[in-house]
Amino acid sequence: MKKILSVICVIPVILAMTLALAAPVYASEAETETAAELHHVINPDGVISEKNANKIETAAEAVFEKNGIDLFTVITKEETPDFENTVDSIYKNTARKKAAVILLMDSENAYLITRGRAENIFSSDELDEILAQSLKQKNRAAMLLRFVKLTGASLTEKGVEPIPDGRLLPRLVDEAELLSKSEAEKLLATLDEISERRQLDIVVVTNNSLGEKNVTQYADDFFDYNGYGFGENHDGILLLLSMDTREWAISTCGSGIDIFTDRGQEYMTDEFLPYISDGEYYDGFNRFAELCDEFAGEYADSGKAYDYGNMPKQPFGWFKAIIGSLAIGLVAGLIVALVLCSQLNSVKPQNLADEYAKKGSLKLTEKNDLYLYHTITRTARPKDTDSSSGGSSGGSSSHSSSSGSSHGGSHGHF
Amino acid sequence: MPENLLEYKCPCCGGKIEFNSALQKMKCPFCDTEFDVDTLKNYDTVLNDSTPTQMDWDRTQNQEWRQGETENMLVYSCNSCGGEIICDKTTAATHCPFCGNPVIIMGQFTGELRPDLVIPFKLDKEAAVAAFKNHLKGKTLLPKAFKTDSHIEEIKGVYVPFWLFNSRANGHIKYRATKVRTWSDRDYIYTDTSYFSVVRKGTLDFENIPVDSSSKIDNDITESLEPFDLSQAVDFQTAYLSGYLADKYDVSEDKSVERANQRVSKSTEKEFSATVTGYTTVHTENVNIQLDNAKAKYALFPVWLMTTKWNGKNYIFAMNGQTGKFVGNLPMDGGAFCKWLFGIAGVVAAVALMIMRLMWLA
Repeated sequence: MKKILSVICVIPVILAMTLALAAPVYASEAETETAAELHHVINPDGVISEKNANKIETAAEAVFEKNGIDLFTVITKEETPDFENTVDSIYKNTARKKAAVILLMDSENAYLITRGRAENIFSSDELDEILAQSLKQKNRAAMLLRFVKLTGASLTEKGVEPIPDGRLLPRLVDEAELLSKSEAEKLLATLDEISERRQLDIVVVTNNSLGEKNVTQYADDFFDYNGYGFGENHDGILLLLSMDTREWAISTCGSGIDIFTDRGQEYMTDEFLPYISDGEYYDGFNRFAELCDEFAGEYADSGKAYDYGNMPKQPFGWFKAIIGSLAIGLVAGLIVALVLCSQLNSVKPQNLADEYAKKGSLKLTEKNDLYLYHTITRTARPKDTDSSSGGSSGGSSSHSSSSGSSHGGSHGHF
Repeated sequence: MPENLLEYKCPCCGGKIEFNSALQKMKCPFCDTEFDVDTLKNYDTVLNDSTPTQMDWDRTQNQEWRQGETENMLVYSCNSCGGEIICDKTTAATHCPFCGNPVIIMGQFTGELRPDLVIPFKLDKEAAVAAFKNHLKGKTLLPKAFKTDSHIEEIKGVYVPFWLFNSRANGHIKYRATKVRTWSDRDYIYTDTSYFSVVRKGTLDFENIPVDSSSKIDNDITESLEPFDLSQAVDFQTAYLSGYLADKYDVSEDKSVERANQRVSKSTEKEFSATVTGYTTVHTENVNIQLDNAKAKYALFPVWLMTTKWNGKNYIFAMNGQTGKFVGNLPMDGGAFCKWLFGIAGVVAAVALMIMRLMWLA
């Protein structure tokens, strides 16, 4: 998402000209000096002073520390002809946590652009507001600083926190203490083993209270802010049980979103939720872990996730199959045996006299078909419950969490 | 007593002649002379005329018989050898147990008792024995020992008496019928059911429904032997009976008609309901069938009867002496039944399980 706002600059052209004349020397000095220090401020033409640049840098760094989002400011004298490319290269090369808000300002215009997770954090209205507020300042340095401060405040207000580089917590966080110590150890070992093997974090979290958040937000944030997920896309899946409201939520991230489709999650919950509803938490979590393994395996092997038209096979029910085939066999055997048995009996009474009826002797003297009445009933058509034939649905729906990262998931009560 | 014994003697050599089912003629077994039945018709009357003087039949009441024991028995003396022929009251044709000559008891066929029709035997004893052997073939559950151990104890060609009923059925049947039409739109399936009251009234004629009028033979057996082809029936001549056994009827026409009426009613219902067409469901509401029975005809039909004994039990077989249709219930080998039942069950179950498994794997 990008937001461009044209600003009519009141600074006289002459002033700009004089600045431009002084620029080469000043800028080269600034570049050599700030290349190491000034991470967030790109000031090639020295439009703002080093002191101001440092001030902005400090503020931006503070926001990064607190909220995990890089705030870049780019200020140039000339109009930037291809600002999209500039923004992309800044984001690619310098953004540290896959999220950036970039303010581009040249002699004519100011652009406020979001990249990465930040795209999901701010709406266009919010960006408009921030830019408008910032441009109210007297000079450029103040505008930039204002932008950094405002954005930082907004991020804090939204509860955006830095996403850690590594996992901070084990893959089982049993705050509600649903599992015994030995069960927890066994489950954690299972989760670790599957996660490492599949390169996909499988996390089970229980708690007693969600606080202010709803169950989905809680699950997403817990995943994000505890640094779960493999690789730069944070591949993983998290199952949250909240005991006070008896709610559950699944949050998927990275390749987990693709692996666990909406239909796939429905299948999984049908499989493991009954255990949890019955209070058999260990069995339920274990089944969940097994299913995750199975789903990740299918995705890795066939490149296709379990979805409509491609659902996991129910395990072959030997008991049912044997009983069923025995019943079929017995019926078939009985039919054959009775047919063979009937060969032995050839004496049976004739209850009809059809062959003695005179051909053509049937004379109907009255043949009356009287219509009496009619009734009309209507029944609702059965709805197509299995939309696999429709082909329209399927796949994974996703949303963004407070940190701006994309998550898939589902939730409900148990 | 007016009962007479009749023997057909060969006009050539005086030997006892019999009806030959293969030739459909009378044939003397001694001199091979053949006679048309019609030729013998006149001869028959000649014999009848002469019987009173020739036949010195005697119905002796032996004092050694206990009271009641002889109630159903008659005793004749054989024309040829003078031996005593003891038979029951309904016997009309038999053999002399001493000289083996065929004997016909004329008294069983006089007046009211004279049959209207007879279907002569078409198939002989050899054919009956062959049919019996054939009957045992292809019966999987027949105990193997039955084939080897059982032998025909008795085989007799019997003219079984039948009543032939003609009747007209007056039917008045009411039906409740429905026609169902369904259609649907986007949200609903509509079912339109139309109800009809259907009436059928009319007549249906039946001809020559046979009812076994001998209590000696189970009606189920004689009905199983149907049909007899009446187009081959001929006017009764005692000559046809020579060499076979015959019974006279012992179930009256009035009693037998009930069985005929049952069958007629069921057939009438069936024929009538076949005219109720074009409906989705037809439910019979009310049946009223009146039957007008004409005077029944009395006929003799040819039946080969066989009895075998196996494992202490008697088995009765019968063959239609005209068409060769063979009937008779056979014993079942319980072990073989179980073998087949569980054998097939096992194989089918294994195949079904395999298919299920393969379908699951696919």
